[in-house]
Amino acid sequence: MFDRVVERLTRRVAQKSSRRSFLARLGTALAGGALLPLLPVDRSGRLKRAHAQAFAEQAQTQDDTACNYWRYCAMDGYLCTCCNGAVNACPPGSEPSPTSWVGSCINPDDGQTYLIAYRDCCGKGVCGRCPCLSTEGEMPVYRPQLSNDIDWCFGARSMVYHCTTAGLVGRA
Amino acid sequence: MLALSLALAGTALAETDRVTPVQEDYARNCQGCHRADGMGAFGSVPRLRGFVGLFTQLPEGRDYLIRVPGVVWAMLDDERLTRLMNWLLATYSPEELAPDFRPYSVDEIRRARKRPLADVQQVRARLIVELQRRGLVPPGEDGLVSARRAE
Amino acid sequence: MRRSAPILATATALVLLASSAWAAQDIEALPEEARLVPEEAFTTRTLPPPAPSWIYVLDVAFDNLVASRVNIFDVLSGDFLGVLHSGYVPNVLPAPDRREVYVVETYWTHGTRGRREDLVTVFDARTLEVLAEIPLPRGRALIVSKQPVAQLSDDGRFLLSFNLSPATSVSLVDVQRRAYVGEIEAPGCSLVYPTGARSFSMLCPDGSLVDVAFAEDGSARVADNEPFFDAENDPVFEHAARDPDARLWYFISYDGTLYEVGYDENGRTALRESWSVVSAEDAAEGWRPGGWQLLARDPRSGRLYLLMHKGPKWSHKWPGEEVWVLDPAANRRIARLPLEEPAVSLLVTAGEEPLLAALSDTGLLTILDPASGEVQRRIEGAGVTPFLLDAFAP
Repeated sequence: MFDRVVERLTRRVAQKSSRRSFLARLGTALAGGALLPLLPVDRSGRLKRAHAQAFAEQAQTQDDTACNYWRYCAMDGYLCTCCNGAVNACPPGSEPSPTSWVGSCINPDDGQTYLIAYRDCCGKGVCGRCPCLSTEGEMPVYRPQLSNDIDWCFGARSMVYHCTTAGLVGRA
Repeated sequence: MLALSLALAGTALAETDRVTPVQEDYARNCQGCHRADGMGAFGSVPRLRGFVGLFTQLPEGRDYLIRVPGVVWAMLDDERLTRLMNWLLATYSPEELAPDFRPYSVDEIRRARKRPLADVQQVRARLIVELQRRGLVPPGEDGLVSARRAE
Repeated sequence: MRRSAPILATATALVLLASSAWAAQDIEALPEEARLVPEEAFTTRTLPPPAPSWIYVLDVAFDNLVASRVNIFDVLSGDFLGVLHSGYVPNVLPAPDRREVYVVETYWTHGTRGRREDLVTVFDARTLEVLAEIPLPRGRALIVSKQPVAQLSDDGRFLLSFNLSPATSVSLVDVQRRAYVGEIEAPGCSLVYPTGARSFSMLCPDGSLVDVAFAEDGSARVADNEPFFDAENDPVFEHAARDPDARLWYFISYDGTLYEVGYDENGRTALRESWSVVSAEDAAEGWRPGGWQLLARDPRSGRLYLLMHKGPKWSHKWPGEEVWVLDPAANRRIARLPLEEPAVSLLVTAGEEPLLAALSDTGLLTILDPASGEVQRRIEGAGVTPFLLDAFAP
């Protein structure tokens, strides 16, 4: 069931990056995955499970402004927690999108899997703080529910993307 | 009904609350757009709650519901998708179901998934007109104008 | 305003009088420090006729998405030619006749606020002036810019712009008449891959293509197909390459399978063949395709250029460390070209002297000889976070 952890919807790739490419920096978001041995084509979902497990193993439950906060296993965007918002609140002047995408993460404290709703805050320009990115389980645009490259402010008054939250839905 | 109360409570679940398997399927496949309370998003995502069952009152509407892209392409096998569709109708729109509504069968879902609608918006518009003609929905109502507005 | 007009007119007259009086004076009579050199003639420059070596670099401006821009370079000379300022996650489409450039874009009337406007802006390719603005009443998909989000029909007359609301459809724009024609519905399928003057295909969630044939009035016929790849386990990238003469599209998958999808004169598609560009040995070393606009075709040689890197599964957006040169006629790799700086996007220019352009998303555009991989030129500052490369068709 851990292979379900790989769901996410929008992607707001990074800001101006350090020396190398910011797409390369995605690799650091995948730190757990990158440590795994490189296996040939995986059709069993085994690697996916391994990646999710890897995230949980290095995740923490204290600092929600860090990319390894346990709820961010399927995060892709600028963290609203770094933009004077919260995991379940939009920063001043932005509005929560009525639509979201739902993934699930393991809480390392109790080992349980929780459903997480990733919701964009919209109506303001890019916040630009704390980009938190992963392409784990990410699918191309023709599978929109799993594509990171789509602006997911559908139904908000404005489609302008600001940052992303990670609200709790329930225990799976 | 626990499932119903949880679904309608949306994200206000306590951490200890456990979602059922069918709720989880709804959360992963539908809830992002149609929302936990089934109210959709104004102008872009139709509401399910208090509305979606109306389509079962028209023969073409019953077919329509399981041939829309979100259903056809859901990442669920036929059995789970069938369970989800029947749960969704019973949970969000029990009052609007056709009096003689029979739950979808796995076979019906399997066949429908092979025939995705190419003209969803046109079919929907036609069905809404028919529902209005029969007096089942008021003029102007299409499930989108009454969907949840941005808060 | 109207009341002040006579005053303004009087002031203007005085200035004119004064200047003509001054002009009549002998310049030698002025103190030396007032003897100004006559001002040079002043013009606005026009670009020469567009060449195949021109590349439009789309900088999506990730830290400020409303401020994207298109920097234009002649990669043969290395010259910077000009800039087009563009809106939110735009698409850039140089017209086949090389007279115009279309930018499909989104603005809000007050920057990040106000009313949203979606439009196709028509630029003159040589003056870079706006010739027309064609509103898109159904909006457009707001996706981090990728080429198949908007495309031109093969004759250049129609622009096809993908919509995601999240229902999917395609807006049809007659760029010749400067008019929006209508919306073509798609059954949950996405993106646009032209297959003729009046046909295109779209990718569906199950790994199939739907083939769309349309008429000038916007009416369309949609035909579906069986899946040609495994969308669940090994999806194809959105960016694909095309051989218009052989009537086929090349799609590359996350794990490195190259699919050659042919189409007929009616735009009906069929898989011709597929093969893995990654040998068992390559796979053991972790080689995978990756980047953004990761696949390019040299229109003269027919060879394909693919960005490759070493990484784990789900590293499909990591920039390429090498360009692999493929011969799709023989289903084999011809060469591996190491890159000095990892690249996210590739393009091979048309014309007599084809050049391989490799774009790093930190703004370095490296120009290589497509045969030897030798670096011909480095263009710094191609953008802040540039993503896409576009050029005129051969």
